[in-house]
Amino acid sequence: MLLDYALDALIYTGIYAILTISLNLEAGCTGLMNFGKVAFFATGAYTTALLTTSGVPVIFSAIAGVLLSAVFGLLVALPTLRLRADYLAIVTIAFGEILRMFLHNEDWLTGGPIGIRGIPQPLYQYFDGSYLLFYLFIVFITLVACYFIAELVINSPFGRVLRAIRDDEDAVAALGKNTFLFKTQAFVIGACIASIAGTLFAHYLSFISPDMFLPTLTFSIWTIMVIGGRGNNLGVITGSVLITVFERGSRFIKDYIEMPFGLEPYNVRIIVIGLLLILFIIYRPDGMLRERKSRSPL
Amino acid sequence: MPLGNLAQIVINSVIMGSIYVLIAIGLTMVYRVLRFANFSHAELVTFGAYSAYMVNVSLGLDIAFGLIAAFILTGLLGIATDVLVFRRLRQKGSGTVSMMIASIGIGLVLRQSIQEIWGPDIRWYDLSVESYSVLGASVTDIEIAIVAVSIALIVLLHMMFTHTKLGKAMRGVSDNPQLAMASGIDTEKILLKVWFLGAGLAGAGGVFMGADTRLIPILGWEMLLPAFAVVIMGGIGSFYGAIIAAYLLGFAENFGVLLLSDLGLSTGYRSAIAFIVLILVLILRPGGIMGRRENNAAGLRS
Amino acid sequence: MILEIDGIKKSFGGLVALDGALLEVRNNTIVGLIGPNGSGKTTLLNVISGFLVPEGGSIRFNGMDITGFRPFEIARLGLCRTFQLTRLFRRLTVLENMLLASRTQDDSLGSVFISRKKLALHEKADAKRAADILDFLEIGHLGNEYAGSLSGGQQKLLNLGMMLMSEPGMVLLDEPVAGVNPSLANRIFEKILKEKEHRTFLVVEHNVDVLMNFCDYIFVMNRGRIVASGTPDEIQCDETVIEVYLGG
Repeated sequence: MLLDYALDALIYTGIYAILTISLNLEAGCTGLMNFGKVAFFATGAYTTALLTTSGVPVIFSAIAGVLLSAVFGLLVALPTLRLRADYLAIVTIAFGEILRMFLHNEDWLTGGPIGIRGIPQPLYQYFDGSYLLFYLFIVFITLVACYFIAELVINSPFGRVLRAIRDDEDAVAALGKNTFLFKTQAFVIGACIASIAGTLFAHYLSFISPDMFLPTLTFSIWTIMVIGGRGNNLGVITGSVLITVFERGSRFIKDYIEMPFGLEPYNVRIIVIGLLLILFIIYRPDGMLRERKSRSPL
Repeated sequence: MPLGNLAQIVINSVIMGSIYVLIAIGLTMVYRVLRFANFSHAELVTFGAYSAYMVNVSLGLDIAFGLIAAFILTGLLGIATDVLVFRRLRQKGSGTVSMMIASIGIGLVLRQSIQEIWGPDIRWYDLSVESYSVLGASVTDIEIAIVAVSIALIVLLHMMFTHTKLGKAMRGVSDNPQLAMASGIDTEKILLKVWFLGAGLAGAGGVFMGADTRLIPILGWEMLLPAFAVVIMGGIGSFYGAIIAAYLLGFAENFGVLLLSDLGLSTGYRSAIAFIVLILVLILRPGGIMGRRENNAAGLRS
Repeated sequence: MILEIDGIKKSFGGLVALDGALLEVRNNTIVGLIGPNGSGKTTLLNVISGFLVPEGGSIRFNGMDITGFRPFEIARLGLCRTFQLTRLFRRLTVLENMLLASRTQDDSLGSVFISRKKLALHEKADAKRAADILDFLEIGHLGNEYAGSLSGGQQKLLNLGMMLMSEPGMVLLDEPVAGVNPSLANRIFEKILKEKEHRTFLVVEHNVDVLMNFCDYIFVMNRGRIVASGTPDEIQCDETVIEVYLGG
């Protein structure tokens, strides 16, 4: 029982870490304020849920999710990324809400508020009894892969341009770089990685509903990134461990201890996440692990 | 379309516009002066609605007192968020990115605190509503009051910006903070007044929204997208732009809903209309409808 | 002529900033652009580098009409600029700032996965070139520091270094020695002088005295127009110039 809780917490940690790595690439490295991360996570989750419940193999549904997320990423990026940085924040937050509204209203496709049930768990028959452990392995492998891809990108000449855009976009343009193109690519890669996290999420729970994709999730991911250390992927993974242990742990603990003053654990959890975000941004904006100096040349 | 239906849509549009305008003016003021998108504005709206609930239902007083209390309490909360968070960030020289992230954190704390105090369930004000018929459309005395008070507040604000020393100082600070400081204006003091007014207006907007519909902890969050659509459509920081844009969005939404049902789509997409308006503005006139040409061009180059 | 500017007009709201500005720059020269505050020097620079779109007039670079080009397109043609307030990438190291300025490195996303060996080789060559330039500017020892931690003077030098790194045909310098002590200012201009055989410079400067020593030719702006031009000697005796500077 306790082991299952631990495995569950680790799987969540992995999924959140992948999601935060994708945010880190956009926001931490490039300075793109994506406040609608959850939309791309949901795109991955719903695409794989719809396709696999109709018999499509997971590999293909995962790829379809990535492609659809990339398309959504482009659609959001094209009208916004040429404009002031804060417009992206507003548009992404809105996009997340519109997508959730779509998932909520289009019963014929998405099952409406009830969502989709019976999403197959790949290879379940081979790992009956130890499926959590197997799934954790899958999540872990994916996380490692995403980590290395993100590191490769950040520490390349391409990534250097992204980090420069974060500091001063006009000055990058004055060096002859098409900043819009760079920002769009960073945003689309972020969307794709988030979609992969969504795929893992859907097959882990085997049921999804619009209520799992609230904006609060985006903000938790932001909190993870800010306290972990913007621009530092190891920091971001550390942040995922801390926040998930806190999040899953408080769910676990509430069955055993009484909250003082009859406080609702869910509310307290989100208030704590909000406070952490505020406190870190004021007193330790670099997070726990500061961004490392790049060891270029390669 | 029968005249009654048309009249009803026009009336509903004006009511929504009157609510949006207060929320958007508050948002655009802070945006202009502090130069960041304050996402916790949504929760200021919610807080206003619930503080009026406290006065109206818990204390049993008339909603008018609730409105006044909401304005003052929300105004003070706005000041509190500045003193506790945003001022500290300013003093540390943090940029707009940090401000926006912090505002998200404040939003989370406020929204969940409101839910903790008043619970997640729907609540209503204690109102005695009387309904009138105009050109075959129905309108309540509450709705008439909303429009009247809202317009009165706009006129008051207009007078303040054009005729008082405070209003001129606010404009000075928002146009050029350094210059304002050099000419002996205490910018920090002015900022607090901007916060009080901006947040107070948000609170009042929240009361109106609560009176016209119902109270829930995400009341303000639901207004955030339309509010930003109005602010950007009007041109960030533009008082008169926000007024025009608020009513335009009111009409766009109410006529848009009609279009939605004609197309066989759910009216649940109502707030998608604000999104579409927002995207269209960003593509066509990123500096806003009132924005000058070079503002629009400047919007194109971050 | 490497740069020909003809009849540029630009206004903000009702305010006319450029009112038919006209100037020409010959290859391998250092040309100064002076004028009182608000005369439109920086606006003109912004128009030439594509950060502002003019309402009228034309800009030709190496004979090619570049009016209305986007900033990065202009920079790619080898017409580069610096900013009045030094604009570096504060959270990148000095070396990274230099590498970023290289116009020959392949910074596409695809190359990250496909041609890593080629990237690494090119990066090494660039790093060598960057080190040479930093040494030339006497800040070679700072390569691994964050650019944001440099002193104001060092930042100016790094800016100059990045500009040299990108090997442009022409450079627009916006007040390259503003707020710099006179001996460093002279040093910076001596470096620019040494580069003259490779490229052309258009320097906007408030500090007229420095320019007089180093420029081949000077244009004087007032109220959005070029009101006088000539060699430093001619400019010093020009009545219009004296009037512009003293009479306002």
